[in-house]
Amino acid sequence: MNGEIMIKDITGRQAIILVAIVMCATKFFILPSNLLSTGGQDVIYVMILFFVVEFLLFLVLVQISMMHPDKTFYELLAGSVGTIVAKAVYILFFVFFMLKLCINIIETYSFFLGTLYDDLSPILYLLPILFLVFYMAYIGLRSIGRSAELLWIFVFFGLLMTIIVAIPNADFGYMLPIFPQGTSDALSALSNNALWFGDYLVYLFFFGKIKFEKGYFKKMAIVSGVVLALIVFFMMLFHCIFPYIASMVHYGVSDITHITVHITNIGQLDWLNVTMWTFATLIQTVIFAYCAEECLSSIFNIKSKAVSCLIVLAILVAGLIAFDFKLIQMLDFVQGPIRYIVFLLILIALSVIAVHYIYNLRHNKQNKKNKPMKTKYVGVRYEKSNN
Amino acid sequence: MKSRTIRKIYIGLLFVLLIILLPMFFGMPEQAFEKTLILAFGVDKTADEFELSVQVMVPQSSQSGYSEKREVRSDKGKTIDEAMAKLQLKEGKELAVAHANILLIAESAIEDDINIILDYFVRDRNVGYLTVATTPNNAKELLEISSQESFDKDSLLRLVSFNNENIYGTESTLNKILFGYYSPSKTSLVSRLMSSQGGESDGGQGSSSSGGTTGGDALMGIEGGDSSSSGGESTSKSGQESGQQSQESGGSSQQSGSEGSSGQPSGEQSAGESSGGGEQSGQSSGQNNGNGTQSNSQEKKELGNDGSIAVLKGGKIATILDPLAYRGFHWLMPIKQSSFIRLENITDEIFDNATIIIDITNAKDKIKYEMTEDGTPIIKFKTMLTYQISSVQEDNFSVDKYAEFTEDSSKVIKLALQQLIDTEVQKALNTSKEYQIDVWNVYDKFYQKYGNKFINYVDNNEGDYLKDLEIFVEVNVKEDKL
Repeated sequence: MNGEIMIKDITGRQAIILVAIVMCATKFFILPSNLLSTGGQDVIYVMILFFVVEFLLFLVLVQISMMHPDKTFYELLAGSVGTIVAKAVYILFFVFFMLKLCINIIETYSFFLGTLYDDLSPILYLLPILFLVFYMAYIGLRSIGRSAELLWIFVFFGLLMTIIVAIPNADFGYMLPIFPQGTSDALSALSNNALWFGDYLVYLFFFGKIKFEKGYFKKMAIVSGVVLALIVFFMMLFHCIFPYIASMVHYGVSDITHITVHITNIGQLDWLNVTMWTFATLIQTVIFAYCAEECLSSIFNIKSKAVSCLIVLAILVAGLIAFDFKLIQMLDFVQGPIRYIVFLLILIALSVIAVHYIYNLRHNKQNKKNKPMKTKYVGVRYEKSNN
Repeated sequence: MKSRTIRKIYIGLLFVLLIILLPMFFGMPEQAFEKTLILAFGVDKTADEFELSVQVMVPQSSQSGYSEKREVRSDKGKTIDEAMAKLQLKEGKELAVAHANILLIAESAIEDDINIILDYFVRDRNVGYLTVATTPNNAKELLEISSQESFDKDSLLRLVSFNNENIYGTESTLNKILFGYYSPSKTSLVSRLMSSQGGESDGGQGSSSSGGTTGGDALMGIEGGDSSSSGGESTSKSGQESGQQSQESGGSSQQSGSEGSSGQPSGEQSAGESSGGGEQSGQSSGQNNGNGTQSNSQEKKELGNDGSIAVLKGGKIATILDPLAYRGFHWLMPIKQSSFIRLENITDEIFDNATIIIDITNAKDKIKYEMTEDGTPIIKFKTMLTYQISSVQEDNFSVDKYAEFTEDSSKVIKLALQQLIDTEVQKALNTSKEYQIDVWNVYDKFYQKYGNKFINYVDNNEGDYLKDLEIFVEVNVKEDKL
């Protein structure tokens, strides 16, 4: 291979950490309030069902990624349904990740503004954040994975502390009764906020880049299951602390600790949580930026990562300007018809099972034709060895 | 582009960013020039206008050091927003509200709906975690008293939070009040603070001192063991009516024993007319906890919390519970901070008409919410109290007698406690029915268990779900001899 050796971008452990962080990072800001103020406790039960489906689908994706360790998602798609369909799918994903990026940045900005600052200029906030996010997205998944590996403990500790401190304030009786008025409100609340879900779809962009280790599937299944359970438990906590006033509580992760009188007497511990949670949102934003850049590169065959990063950055800034950096304007848009893109992408993710079988079928036929089989590393990422 | 070139560009950009941003920070003026820190809010109502008062911190530095002076500023407006805007204009600075931790509202200002006032504080995202208290006096006056040097900056907050955390366990925060306001019960509990001038009424504006308040105990409104002796009304309506009722309730307080009678703040007329809080029953509590009462000997102005609770129904004050009346509600609440109980007239083989003061060290409750076959809601309250005998007062009490203290006496204490708690709980239930206040959040509990069956019951009773409610009390006791 001309002195080149194949290097996987991230280890299995890093992939697990990244997925865990991406799954939960922005679910604890305005989502609890948005969901529970309209859906009440019922939305949590609907969410549990939704998460079960998501979890099973995610495990299927993990299994398929292990069956094709050297194939990226794009290669799988192109190899089975053709490049045009693959590009069309990637356009959808690109839109999805750009929306996610806008949500992340505006939501995090509002979160800081509402918890830490009296006044915070969006430009001053945006400049360093975008600088950091796109630099990390540019240098690649390996750096993101390593950063996540270093920072996950703070994120986990912050979340754990938030939950433990908040538990005494919750009256879990408010989880009852179940579906007293039917499921329509809960379903509509979940549907309106669909763009806060489907984060695990980033895993499709880790296809072909993970160095699988022993017990990877089991570890991934346990960690993602625990993360989903934590999200559900957090929603329960939020509802049981603010049963009638969910709409008045803006940021779940800071407010459920803020309410603890004993804590506020010794200082604002919620600020510590906020600071630690910053790492999670940062990593999530970087991953979305990375995925958006991957989509763009694949759609237009852009060879230079720097160029595709800059284009994504430009589109993002345009989006942020269009939303005028206002959470309410962004909510108006992302809770509109555009939200159905999530369900469409989940269906596409589900169709990866079919893609896998079609790919195998074609690949096997090709192998039979081209005997003896040649080893061909189509589209796999290579990096020059430092050695 | 090569990766190295990109990295160089990024590092270059980083320096450019630093060059652009850093001078901005160096050139920033002192925060004190731009912002005024608010520590506490006070809201009064005069005619048809709100008067918003804010206690602000005025930092002063001199050669001798740094000091923080507190001052009160106020302005009026048709709404709180308007008053706030006027205050800012007057101040010439932005009013930074994030550090404010208490909101005092004069009871006269909540004649219509407390939410008219609270809404501003909920919507302002910069307002932090607020503790709310009502006052029968003038909120501005209380802020002025607490701005004196003899009080530290958190004195108002501590007066409320100490009671909440150590005596009655009633959280009186913005969130908790709104939770009650928007819940189906529409009932919220709010702590009260009051001022007085060295025990005299303030300026003779017609305030009535709370009759018969004899050292309202911050520990509890302690009542005699013979619960029937404590009969009489122990709650009162707010405002003008409360003046009349306080005469009755004051009387009942006297009956309930010299040590433990509760303060009756409701004897004061509605705030705004009076700044006199009457005699502060919290005086003894000040000795006990260091927070109950603080005074300035020069001005003779006092600031106190007598443990009374304002009960809001639909945003208006439905009634004011003195500590004794509130204790009846408190028994069915999850946190029992108040602990000292005086049992009087204990007579058995050992004691002869003794007064025994016991300290409840632990309580394990089981509360069952049931609907009978005919649809009547009932509450079965069973509690296991662990107590220690704090003191025994008897004419001929001796050490020998103490040694003889046997299981029989425990039975007598159990009986006395059963009677006491049952009577207090039934009284609280009657108060609930009279004022239609759901302090126990009964609605939620039954709804959680019975769902639409309970909703139908509520509808059939035109919303008065407390009307047929019954409570059965069972008390078990265990002496903690360690």
